[in-house]
Amino acid sequence: MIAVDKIAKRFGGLAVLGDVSFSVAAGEIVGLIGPNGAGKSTLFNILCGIIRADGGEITFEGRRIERLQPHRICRLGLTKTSQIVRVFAGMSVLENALVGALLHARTVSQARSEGRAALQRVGLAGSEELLASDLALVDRMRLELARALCTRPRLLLIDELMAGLNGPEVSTMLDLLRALRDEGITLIVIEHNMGALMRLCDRVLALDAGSIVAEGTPEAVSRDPRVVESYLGEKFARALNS
Amino acid sequence: MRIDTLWGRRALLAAGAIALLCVPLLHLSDYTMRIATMTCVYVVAAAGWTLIGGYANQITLGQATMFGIGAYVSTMLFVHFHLSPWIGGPLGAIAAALAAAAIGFLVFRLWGAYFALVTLALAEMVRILVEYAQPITGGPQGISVPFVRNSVWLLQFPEAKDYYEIAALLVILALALARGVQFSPLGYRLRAIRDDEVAAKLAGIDVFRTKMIAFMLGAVLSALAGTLYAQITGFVDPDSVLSITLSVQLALYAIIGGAQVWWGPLAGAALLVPLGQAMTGSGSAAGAGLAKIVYGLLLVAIVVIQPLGIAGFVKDIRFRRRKPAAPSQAVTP
Repeated sequence: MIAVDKIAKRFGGLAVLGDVSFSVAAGEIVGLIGPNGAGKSTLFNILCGIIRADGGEITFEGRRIERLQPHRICRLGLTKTSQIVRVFAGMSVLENALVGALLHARTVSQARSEGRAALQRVGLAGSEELLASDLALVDRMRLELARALCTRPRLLLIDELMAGLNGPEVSTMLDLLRALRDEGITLIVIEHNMGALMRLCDRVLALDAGSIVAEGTPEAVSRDPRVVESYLGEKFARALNS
Repeated sequence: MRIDTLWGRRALLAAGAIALLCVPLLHLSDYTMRIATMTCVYVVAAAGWTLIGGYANQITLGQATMFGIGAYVSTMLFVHFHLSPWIGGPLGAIAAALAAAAIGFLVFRLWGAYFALVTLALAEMVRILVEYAQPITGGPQGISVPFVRNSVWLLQFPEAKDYYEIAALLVILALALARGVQFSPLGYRLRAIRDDEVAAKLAGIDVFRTKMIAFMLGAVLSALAGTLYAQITGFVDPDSVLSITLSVQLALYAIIGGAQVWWGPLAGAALLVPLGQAMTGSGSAAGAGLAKIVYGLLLVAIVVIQPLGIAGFVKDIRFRRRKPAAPSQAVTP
């Protein structure tokens, strides 16, 4: 699905990513963890073309994409939801989803019905006519997910979707993400909610200071001494694995 | 009262268009009709601004360039080659669209920020160029459209009021285009860019291309208005069609009327053009000065009270009515 080869990025004198390489197979759900500042969001921004890497190659479904503009990459089927929630604040909830659907829909009315369906899926049915800026943060995150789904992604990058959700809401969100995978959408998920991540992911990558320090099943990575030291902390790791 | 059915809305729009065309039946004074005609010209020019400055919030302070290109191209073709404005006008519109493409390429692709400042600077450059190209443009003294005869083909009539029907038709055309864009995929993309460019890119929108299309379409409208202006006044000079003042005025009409809706330029120009004319028409310099002060105060009032312009009051009501929120529901996978 996607192969990332030696991606590097510096912001001025600060090396944010140093030669990051990994690959994700079609149909996988891969978690991306790491402490704040590890470079997770920067990596996502590079993958979808918002930021250009200083070096390295990204191959998405057999095509090199590291020099493409974000809208081209999105058209190929790769987009993301943002950690800083980005909805179109001055548009209605339905219009937000509709804008995503316009990428493939032929008419506005077709895009509107696709948008409606996506809103239904993420649990925003009934809020279509609200102004997006009037939604609670949690709902704005859902809206961003709906808009991303409307672009018909084949690989979806999700940056912290669980933050602010309560227990049952996390469970329904996990069900939704698994359902998306079953429909053929590959997922890479940045998440600080370790419990949710362990339940969701087939594989976890741990990023620290711009490098991948561990890779494997959620259980194995959460026991990895480097991950424990840099991110989870001794106590938490023990609790997680007990 | 709200008219919500599709046919109801269409009937309302058609009625509005017919009413606009029927204004001469009111037998208003020549002076009033002259103002009405000039208002139409500025509605069209401001509609050109709205497409890019309003819908996408890419505030340009150089829309006079497009107006001026329309005025100068048709006039020069008429004076030097005796070409009818019916041909010169569209050629001017094409020239303006090409100018917009060049400016848009520079600003949207290379320099990114400071769109307003760069368009302002480029507009001044165009004005200075026109002043220096005296042999063909008439330089700072301007260029007269010689009156040949009363003729539809030459787009020449004795009085400003005689142009009213053509100006009103152009308004209908321009607003139909602005409305069409607003509810088209292009319109939604422009609004998305207005709200968040990065999110727009992530939703698959080609931001550069979308801005370029809107800027070029807007240039066409403003240029056609420029041609009509030249025919009505019979005279173009850099101060009247290429000035910063005109650029700012066009932006003001659109902003005060409501920059995000197709009828904003109509509301803004219909309020401000007669106001300005009435004050400058009093004949005194004080009146002209007063007009500028009133513009300034109105702008401040709009920014403070209702940033969405006159249209904002309507839009506000609409969303307030919709507001009773459904509680967010559980996710259904």
